Amino acid sequence: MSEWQPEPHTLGGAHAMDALEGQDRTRFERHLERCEECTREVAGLREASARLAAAAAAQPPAALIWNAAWTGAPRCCRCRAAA
Amino acid sequence: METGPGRVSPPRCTGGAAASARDLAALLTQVAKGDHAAFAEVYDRVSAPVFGTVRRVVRDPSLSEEVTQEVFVEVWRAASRFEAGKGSPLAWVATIAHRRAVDRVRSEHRSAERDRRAAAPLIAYDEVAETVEDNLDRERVRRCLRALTELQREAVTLAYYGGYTYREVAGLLGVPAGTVNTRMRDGLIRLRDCLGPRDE
Repeated sequence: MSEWQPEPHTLGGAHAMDALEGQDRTRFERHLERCEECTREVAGLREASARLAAAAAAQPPAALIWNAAWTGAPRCCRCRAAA
Repeated sequence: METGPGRVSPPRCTGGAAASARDLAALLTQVAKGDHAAFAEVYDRVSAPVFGTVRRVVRDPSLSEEVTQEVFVEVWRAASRFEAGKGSPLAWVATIAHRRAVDRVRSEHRSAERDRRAAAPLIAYDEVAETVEDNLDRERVRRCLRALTELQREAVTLAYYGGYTYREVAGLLGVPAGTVNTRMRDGLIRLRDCLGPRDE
């Protein structure tokens, strides 16, 4: 198809925000395996996108940690809280 | 095979106080060894950014809780893959959280729901105001987002908080995909430089 194809070196920002999918993502991940500069850039930009995550912080419902899906650690949380 | 927190027993009830003095990277190293107290501490430290991010992207409250749980199961199972030299522990956890949220929203909301959301795509930025009180990260991020050009800011917030691909953002904004890709990268670089290192 005649869809526009990006130059791989420019995709680090989109990748660091999970804004690539399909062919774009596959191609860029292949490119990352041999491009140290892009690997470094993505790592740095992941730190920036993590700050966007921190800025969105919201307390999860307390009930979440009691859920049976991961019983081991929550039981520990409970006894720690009671201690 | 140890596959999850539920398979390791019994959970230890000691170590809570000691764990709180350790940093997140050290805690993840302990989690990789199956330490439940360390895992509980990691949960306490990062559940708010994880849940907040997931909820922003996924929107549906019960689905957000489900995805948040998946994130922590992955943190538990994959903790041994965290490498301190390659980035911060927060970035490692946030990457897991955001990717899972985005994967979920792309598989669930591919069609009608996302088209509807596209009608008000810029809500994402304003919603940074909501959430946890006294969030220093939020203040700083807001300030630094304001320093971006409008297109950079829209590209970054639609991608990160909206969960859109750069091609989708291009469609929403009526701007060529190549331009959006460039603005997204430039915007995130400027954001990184504006934010500086994070105080733990």
